Amino acid sequence: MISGSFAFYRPHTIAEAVAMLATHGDAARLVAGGHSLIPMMKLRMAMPDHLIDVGGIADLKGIKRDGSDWLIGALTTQAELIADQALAAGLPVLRETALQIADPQVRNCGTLGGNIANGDPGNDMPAVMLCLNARFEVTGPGGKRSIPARGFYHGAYVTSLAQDEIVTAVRIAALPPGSAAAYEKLKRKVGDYATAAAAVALGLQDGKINFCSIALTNLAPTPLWAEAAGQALIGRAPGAESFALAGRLAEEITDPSSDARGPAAYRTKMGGVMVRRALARAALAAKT
Amino acid sequence: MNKSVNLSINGTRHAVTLDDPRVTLLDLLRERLDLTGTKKGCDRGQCGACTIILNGRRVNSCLTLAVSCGGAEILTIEGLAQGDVLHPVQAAFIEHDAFQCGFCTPGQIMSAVGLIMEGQAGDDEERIREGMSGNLCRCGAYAGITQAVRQAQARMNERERTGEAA
Amino acid sequence: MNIMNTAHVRHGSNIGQNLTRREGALKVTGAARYAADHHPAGMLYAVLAVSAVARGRVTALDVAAAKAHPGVVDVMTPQNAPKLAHHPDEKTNPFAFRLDILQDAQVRYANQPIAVVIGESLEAATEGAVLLAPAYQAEDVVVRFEDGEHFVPAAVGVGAPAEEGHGDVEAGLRNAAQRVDVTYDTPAHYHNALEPHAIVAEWQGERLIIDTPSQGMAIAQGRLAGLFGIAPEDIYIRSPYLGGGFGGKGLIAGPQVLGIMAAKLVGKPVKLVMRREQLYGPIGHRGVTRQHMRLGADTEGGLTAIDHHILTATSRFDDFFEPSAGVTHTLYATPALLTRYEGMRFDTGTPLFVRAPGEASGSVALEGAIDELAEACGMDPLAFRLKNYAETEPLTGKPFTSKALRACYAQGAARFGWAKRPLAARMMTDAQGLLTGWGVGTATFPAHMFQASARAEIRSDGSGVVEIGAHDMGQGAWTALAQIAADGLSLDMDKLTFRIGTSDLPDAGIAGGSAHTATAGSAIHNATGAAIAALADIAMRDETSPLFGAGNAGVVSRDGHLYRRDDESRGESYATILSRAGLDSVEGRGEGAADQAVTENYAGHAHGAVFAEVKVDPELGQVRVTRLVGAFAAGRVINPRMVESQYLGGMIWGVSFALHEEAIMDRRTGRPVNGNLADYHVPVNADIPSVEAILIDEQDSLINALGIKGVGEIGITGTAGAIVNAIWHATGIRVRSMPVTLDKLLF
Repeated sequence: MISGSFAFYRPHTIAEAVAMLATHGDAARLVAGGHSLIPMMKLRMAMPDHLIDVGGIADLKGIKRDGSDWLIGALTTQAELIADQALAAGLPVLRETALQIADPQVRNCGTLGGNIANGDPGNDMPAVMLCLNARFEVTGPGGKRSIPARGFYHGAYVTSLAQDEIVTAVRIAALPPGSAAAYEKLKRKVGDYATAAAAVALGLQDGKINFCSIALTNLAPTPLWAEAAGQALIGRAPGAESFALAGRLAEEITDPSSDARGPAAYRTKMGGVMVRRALARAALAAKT
Repeated sequence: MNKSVNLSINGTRHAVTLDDPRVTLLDLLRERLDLTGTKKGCDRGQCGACTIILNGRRVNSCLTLAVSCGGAEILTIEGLAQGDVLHPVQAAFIEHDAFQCGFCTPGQIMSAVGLIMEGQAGDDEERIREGMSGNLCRCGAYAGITQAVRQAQARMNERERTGEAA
Repeated sequence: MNIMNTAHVRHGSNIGQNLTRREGALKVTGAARYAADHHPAGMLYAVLAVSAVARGRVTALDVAAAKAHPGVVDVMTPQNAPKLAHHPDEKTNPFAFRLDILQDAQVRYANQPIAVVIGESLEAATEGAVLLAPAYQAEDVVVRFEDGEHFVPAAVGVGAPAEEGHGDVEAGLRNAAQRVDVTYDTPAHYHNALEPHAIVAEWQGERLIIDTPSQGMAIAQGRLAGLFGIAPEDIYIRSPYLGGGFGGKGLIAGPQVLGIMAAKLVGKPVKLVMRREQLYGPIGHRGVTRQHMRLGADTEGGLTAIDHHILTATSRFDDFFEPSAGVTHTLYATPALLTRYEGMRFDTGTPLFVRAPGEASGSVALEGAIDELAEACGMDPLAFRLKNYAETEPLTGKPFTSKALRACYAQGAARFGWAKRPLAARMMTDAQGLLTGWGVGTATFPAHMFQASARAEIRSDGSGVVEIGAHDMGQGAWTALAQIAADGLSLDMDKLTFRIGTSDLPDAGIAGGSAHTATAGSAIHNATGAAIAALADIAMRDETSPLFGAGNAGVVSRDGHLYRRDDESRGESYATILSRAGLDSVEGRGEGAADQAVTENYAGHAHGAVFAEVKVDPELGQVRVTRLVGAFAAGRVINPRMVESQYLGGMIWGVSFALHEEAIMDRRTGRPVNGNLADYHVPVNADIPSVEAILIDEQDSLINALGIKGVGEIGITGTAGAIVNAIWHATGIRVRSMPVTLDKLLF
């Protein structure tokens, strides 16, 4: 299959790309790894007249520390997230999540920016971003702004990103000492989107949970931050009972569709199981 | 609107004029440069038959636009052997009967070369299987593929593994 | 290895050798050219436009818009398609299935071709096909058993009876001490060979040259000759390598014919490659089945009756009913046996042959039901199978040509460690808390033979040539048949020129039904035998030859020489014989076919036993096949490496059948919901942690001169049942609807 025709651009700066978006309006689309957009174009489900390849913009690349924050360029591929030693040591949940995305060839092209910005509820990184309270650094014609991940997703493929804006980087605060994060994903097979998945971060102090954040993938039209489920664990001892409670509370906010990945009730229940398993793993990691 | 793209394929420089921005790297190789070893199985990044090494990384060439490849270094199945001497992965595929019909084989082999370059799987069979799971083999030669990757990796020296020799 | 021939003894050392694939270097370097890799000068690209509705009519196509697109050369529709010599719905023979090749505006299934756009580039032709923007008048569709009338088909498969059996099944069930009455569902499957159907077609006047993957070039020639009104010998097909066949390339499909028509329309070579999603329609599929199994056993665990009722669907416009009863006819001894079919018509393409057609789907139901009956009888499932071991073919009472199934059970069970299996379900849990279960399934597939011819030649330089229009779809014909050929001429492989894969060579018959090595191999064996006999005849009549007068004693051939059978110190080389006779070469021709006396009096089947271990996550319902051991007996093994690969590949298809594959049709539109390789699941490498095949020795002196059965399809049978039975053993749950997906096991 061949996509519809388009004019092709390959800007070298963020400013150039933003100017192109401003000029061409809704008829333009950004492409980075292309593994979401190009299949859509081949199926004629996306037919941009102007395709702006951001792959040549050096300022979108790199994994850096900014104080205690992690600042990860939008063009960072899943494979680069996996290979980065500092990130693997400091925020291993990103590597862990990236390894669950699609297959190795796709991970060599797919970018963090694309995964968080296109609004596909099946993408894995958005829930991790909600869980970690990440902020998305965005540049538009009016300059830069920073959007909290927890306010970014509004519906399937509907986000806070304006048509003429580019996500340039993701900012994630380091987890406090005594805490850890985990991502658990149930998929039918290698390469599949989640039947259900959960990202959790959990902190321990004096044998009690002092911080907990939970988010869910592919259980609603958007990734879900299960705020109440996380809050309910504060002050509790980690263990099966607490994790089951969080799982139940997380299940309550899901709204999955019945599809080839299973009936809605099954997927909801699996969401709860993923929450429990992720919490158990994070608690173990937080202790050590 | 013609676009001119300079790229290196298997060590040979090509100046390609594209009359159409829609041409994928896969179709460029197969239909315009007669490098038909790279196969089209699904054209949607779902089967891995079109895997090539682009700037040192294994990618699906069916989802790569040729116009995006200015300045790229590309390695395809045709560039792997040194004259009549097969690459260790190619030789191991024959020895372990790691293919039947052979259609997915160029993609499997390029994927294996990429996997070994990534250096993430070690000699762990489970990780090799996972790392080769972007490539479908409908004939079901998976056991042979896994063993071929292990053997080739063990036989390759550091320079070959990192791709410097390729 | 000695192979007996009527007058002469031939010696060769190739059969049984573990040679690597002779075309291997071409395949690992990308040098092997598959159909779509060809690019004759002046070639244009043809792209199919296919129907978005499953039933109705195309009411409009914007041909003008497509033609106006730069690079589009022409658009082929029912209005301008080249006229055919006969209507493509005409049933000229039992293998002539109806094709949709733009004969009219009618739509009979989703993804049916409705136009072909020809362009200078793939991009232009593709855009042209989009610009056609078809409009339809759609009608209601039926794609489920619940939605239409059932009927009893006149025949199933290719000409098999829709009802067979013996004994009083109702009495057998009535008098049984234990009974099972269960229904197994199997979905539609699509071949999904990694190589999509492709054709490069070029007309040279009335002569047609095509590159296209074919499992049956002679049948394709015949069909195309009929459609285009030309002689079969004016059609030249090249098919040296198929990128997977699995039955999908057995018969020429509509889109391939359309590529030829497009080349005729534009007067230039044309390449047409189907897109992956277009394959879910016009090339056949494995028909959906609902199999009602009623089995009874006496107090000792002996079967009293098997009733196997099969509901299956064909298309609305042609007949092919998935023949699932075959396994029940051949596997277990029972005093009463009945197999019956009902059919339905769906608005899909016509189902056809998919790897182990009938046997694959029937095996799951039979092996599942047998396991359930063993459970009801409180017996070990392997012991139950041995108790009901068939010494003669259950349906016909004929003796088997050979049957080493007991050895398969014994060696497979030993390798797997079956003896440690607890009888009850849900008794084993691993260190990670995963429920663990072990299951067994019996594998079987008939030892078919079709018709084949071969030509052999011995040359005065001492070399040999063997030619046969055989097909290598990955099973290893380039290698295994060459081994037979080299042995047939008593030559080393490097002295042999071996040609297959083009239609100008002698007809090798179809590469299907697991019959190709047996059929083509027999033809090669006979042709090479004839060449040796002709050479011996020259020598024995030559007074100056040491073989002069060998007469009835005959000769022995070995390593490029003939020797007197009664005195092997007297002999001479092939080259010497021919040179002295002043001949460049001597030729032999031979046929391969089943021996009618054998098929009338004996039953020929390959057998096997498959043992599976599964681990099930009790919270998720996630199933992983952690270990598979198959032991198979299929007569003589020509090349163990390639035979093992066939078994392993078949077993992986069995895993796929049990856990992954299912074509889902939208019941309102009749369109495939998951017609792509991300949503139509087949196993990836990570899904297959451990699979091994044991080659059981089996001598068969009846089935054919070489003693070959067939190995291409048997691996699927038994395997899917073993997995389903292992899932029960792990969880206590019988899932009877394939594939066993996570949600079906939520417990």
